Amino acid sequence: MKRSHIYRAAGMGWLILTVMAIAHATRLALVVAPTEATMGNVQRIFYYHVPTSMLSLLFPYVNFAASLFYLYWRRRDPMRALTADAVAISAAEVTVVYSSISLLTGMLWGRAAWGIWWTWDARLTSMLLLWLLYVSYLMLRKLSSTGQTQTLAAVLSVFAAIDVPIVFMSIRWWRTQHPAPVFGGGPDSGIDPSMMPAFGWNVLGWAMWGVFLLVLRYALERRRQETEQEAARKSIEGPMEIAQ
Amino acid sequence: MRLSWIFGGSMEAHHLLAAYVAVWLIQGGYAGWIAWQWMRAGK
Repeated sequence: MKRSHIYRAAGMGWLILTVMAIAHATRLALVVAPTEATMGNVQRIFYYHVPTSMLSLLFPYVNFAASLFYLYWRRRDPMRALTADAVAISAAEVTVVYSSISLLTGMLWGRAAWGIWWTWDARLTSMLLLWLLYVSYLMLRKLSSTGQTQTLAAVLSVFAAIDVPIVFMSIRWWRTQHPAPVFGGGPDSGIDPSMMPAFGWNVLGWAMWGVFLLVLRYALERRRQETEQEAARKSIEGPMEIAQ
Repeated sequence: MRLSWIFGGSMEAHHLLAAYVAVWLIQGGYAGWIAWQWMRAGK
């Protein structure tokens, strides 16, 4: 059996499991989980907002690690460096997707719960900054034509990763509009045990979906790199054959 | 519990529905974009 067939079968299996997990998670969040006492049904945004926000702080580290590997390998082993670069751009895009959802669902929840769409509080501002940093990373990669684009992007990624712990700690360091941490935020933190299955399944389902997107995007980037390498090889070999 | 309250007229129902639709549109849109690029890159 060819390796590509094994990868395709594994990908399909993973996708089926992911869709099943997300369907189950959505049913738990919308139908099974109890209605929260003070906020009512709008609190159900929590089951998408919190898992997505957690994941939008994990994928930047994949981008960060891949960028470090790229910077290390770019002169020592250019082929490995290209692999690391493909992982880096994939993780950056998935970060933008997840942080966009985090911001959007947060605004929809905030309007219903606080009466405002946006406020410049520490968590919201640092999260917006994270989103802007990774959008800048992608724009740099798209628009730069210096020939050093991948290196510049990798360096930007190292700086962008500094914002991740700031976003995470913002609701611990500064007590502003955003609620205190739901988990690990002191003796009064946590959710009712009857809400945990909906929360846990949403974390699992959206994490599996994120990994699926990451691998799919990585495969696309590798295919693009191979096409570019083939075109470059032909452009070099063509004139050489004519010269002979 | 029935799901009919999601389509009710209150602001909380609208915002909850909008949040869930936004999530599916963004995630589905991105996955669709990758699939489209994949088909283009394969040609």
